[in-house]
Amino acid sequence: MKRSFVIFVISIINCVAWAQTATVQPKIMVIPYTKQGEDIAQVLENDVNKRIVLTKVKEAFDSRGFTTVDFAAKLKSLSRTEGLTTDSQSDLKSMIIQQSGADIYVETEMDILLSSSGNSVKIILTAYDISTGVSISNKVGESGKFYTDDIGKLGSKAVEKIADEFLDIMQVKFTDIVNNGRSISVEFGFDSASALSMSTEIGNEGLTLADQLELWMSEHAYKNNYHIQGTTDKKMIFDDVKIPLKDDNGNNYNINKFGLEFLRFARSLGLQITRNIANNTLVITFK
Amino acid sequence: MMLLQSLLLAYAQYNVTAINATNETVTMRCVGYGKKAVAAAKDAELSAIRTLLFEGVTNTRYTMPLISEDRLTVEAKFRKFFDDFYNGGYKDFIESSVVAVPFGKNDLKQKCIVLDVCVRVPQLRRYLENKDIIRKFGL
Repeated sequence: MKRSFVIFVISIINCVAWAQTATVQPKIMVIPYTKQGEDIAQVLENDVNKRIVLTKVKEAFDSRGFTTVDFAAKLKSLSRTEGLTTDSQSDLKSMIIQQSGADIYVETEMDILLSSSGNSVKIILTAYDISTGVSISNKVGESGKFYTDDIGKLGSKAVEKIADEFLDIMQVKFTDIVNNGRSISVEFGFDSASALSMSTEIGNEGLTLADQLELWMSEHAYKNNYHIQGTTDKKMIFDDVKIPLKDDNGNNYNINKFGLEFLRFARSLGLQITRNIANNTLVITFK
Repeated sequence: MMLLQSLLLAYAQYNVTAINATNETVTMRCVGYGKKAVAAAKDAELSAIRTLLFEGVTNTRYTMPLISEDRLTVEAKFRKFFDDFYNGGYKDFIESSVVAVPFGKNDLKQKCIVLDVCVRVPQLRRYLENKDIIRKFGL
């Protein structure tokens, strides 16, 4: 009897443990800064110091138990699958950012200052949310002047000085996301053959489609937190909509589930839609 | 009485100055007060720890506190943890504690000691993460 009770208690504990879902972590990618038209692959291949700085930034993330998406590996894999040539690499950086599946990218810029009183390196780290373009954390680090030609070492020194603070600021933003939801953007548009527009009256209350969309958004955005970028007769863009990390049952909640909720709402109004998701942007097209 | 104690705690200033910071440690010069040298030394060490936890150490890479929430709220929320931690658990994260000015009376006739306290920050952070006092990096 006693043994059965112990087994029962252990199985209950197991069930509780399994019921807790680990939060899906954002994917972070560290990339080098490139000027307009500069070939990002060449920038990395030709400059060992930039690779050192990039690795140093990745190390800082690793030290906090967070693994980043490897930029060099993504670059190689994309070059293979997309058959990229140097001619088509003018906007390779945007393409990698878009196709890497990363949610956040950290841009590292290195400025080398050579002088007779010693050499120094300045590092600028900037983290961006890919979906909204919002800057998450910025920090400038300086190595200080040293009589050395080892630029990689100076770069590492500059990164070390600011890495902790840079990550701490990012963590503050993550805590804000946990408390107030993560940002997505939602775009509503119409199929070319659609007879609808934003001013079409939908439903029994005589409200226009634009009104219906805003009412739905105010009910479904986390803590009623959303921002409308603009509305025209053929388009309505919510550039920042907060969605929770978890649903009411403690399961992970994402942009796809948010889209599903909208699909149900659209069907309840007798509307047909298509959904597309790319980089935390939900694109809804009314047929 | 409790309210007065809370107010005193909330506005207590730590007498702490940063000396040096590396990737692994931060060293602070701390003044500790107490009737006896041992109590004053503990007060100095706890000032260093509390500064790191709740205030951040200015002019170092650890300017942001390890715990971003209000001190009284967190200490009340994890009362058992902090009771154990302040009663000796914190010593695991102190690399060195060197007397800079021996125990004695200061200009205000207060009995105090000045220590250079070196704290292992990444280990302390990991410990707090593992005990669920702070969240790990990420969401």
